[in-house]
Amino acid sequence: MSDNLIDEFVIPKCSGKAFKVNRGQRLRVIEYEGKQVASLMFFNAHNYKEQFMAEFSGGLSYMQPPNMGSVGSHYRLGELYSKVPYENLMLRVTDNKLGDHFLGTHCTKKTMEIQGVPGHRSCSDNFSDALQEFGLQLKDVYSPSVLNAFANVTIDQKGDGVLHVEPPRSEQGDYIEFEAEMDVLVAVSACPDDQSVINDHSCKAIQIQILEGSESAEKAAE
Amino acid sequence: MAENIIEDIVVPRCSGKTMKVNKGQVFRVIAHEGKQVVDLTFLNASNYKEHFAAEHSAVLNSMQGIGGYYRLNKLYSKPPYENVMAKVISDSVGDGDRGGERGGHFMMCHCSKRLLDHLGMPGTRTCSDNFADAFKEIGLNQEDTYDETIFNVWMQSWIGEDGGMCSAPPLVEEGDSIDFLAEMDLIAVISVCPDETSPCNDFKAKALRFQVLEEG
Repeated sequence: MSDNLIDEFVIPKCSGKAFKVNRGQRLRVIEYEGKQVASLMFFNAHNYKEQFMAEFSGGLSYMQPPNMGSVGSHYRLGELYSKVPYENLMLRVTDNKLGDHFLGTHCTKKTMEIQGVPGHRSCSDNFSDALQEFGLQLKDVYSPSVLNAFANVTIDQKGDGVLHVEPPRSEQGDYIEFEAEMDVLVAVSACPDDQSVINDHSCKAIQIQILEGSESAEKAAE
Repeated sequence: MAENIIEDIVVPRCSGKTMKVNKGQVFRVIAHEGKQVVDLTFLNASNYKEHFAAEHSAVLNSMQGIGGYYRLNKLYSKPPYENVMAKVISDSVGDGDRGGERGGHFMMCHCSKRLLDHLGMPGTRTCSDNFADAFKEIGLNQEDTYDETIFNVWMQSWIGEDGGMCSAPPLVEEGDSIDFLAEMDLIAVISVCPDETSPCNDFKAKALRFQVLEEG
């Protein structure tokens, strides 16, 4: 009953897609083949200026009662919040067995230039394509910080604070599940970086499922 | 080298402000009273949609071996622009040897209403309030701006092993400074962090001094 499927599709490798998820519904982002990062943006479906803030949500998840870290952290997000001045709870993470993700920037034109492959397709291109359908452009997105699901990335605790990128640990069928606390527009990029270890040097597809919500969410929505 | 000081102001504790910095000019932040963090962002003066992206800059600097989340060399704007907006040309804390374990700054979030709600101190003034005041000076509402992930100058925070944000008192002392060379005409947006509940400002909010100068 709680697993009632509303919609299901596959986002081909190196491409992006945007779609809506209603309040109370669940979104599953699934490894279709494994070891592939899915970069995720979220917008309030009724006000695209209200956007998900990644790092901010890591901090807000961590710093709340009952104990620091009990709801989530930068490396295991529990709650997704929108930008100031809204700061609303947009979605909650309801299932995240693997746990790996990176709250930070997606790959861009500049990251490809730095990697020595100017003009290489990046998540910026995927997001541009995906958001076009909803009348949004990349310049309307406030921050390049996203939820990079399945990314195995950490920030050095010392020195300059450099990034450590490792190949994903995710296998086919691993997923992260969210429950929407408001109607949201979701944009997903199946990250097209085959240059670094971030996708284990090969780009793959990502599967999406939208499911009916849990009973508690239905109650809360009443 | 002679310095021609164009503007020299003290921004009171717990407040926000904007300053215009033209291409080629230096924007200097001076620790006026010691251990105090300033949250900074920058806008392209001729296109406010092009703003500084701290988290993106941390990654771009990390990939080039010139910085990371705790120290920056080049400040980039958000996609699709990704221009170098400013360069750090002098950083007495980040480049010096203060016995600290890390760069001395933090390319991440500031304090906000929701955060203080979570911490059980609703209604406490935050950097969000300072930024709202500062953006008003140039006719912008917070709905149309982005300031969540910014250059926290002298904020000695880091992401711990468990993914939690850790903070220690700043390494900065009175008289320390950091210089940003503007690579385009900029609006510097300033929040003199009002936090007195954590080690970020060593538990006491203070004023800061800002200069715009030309070298020559």
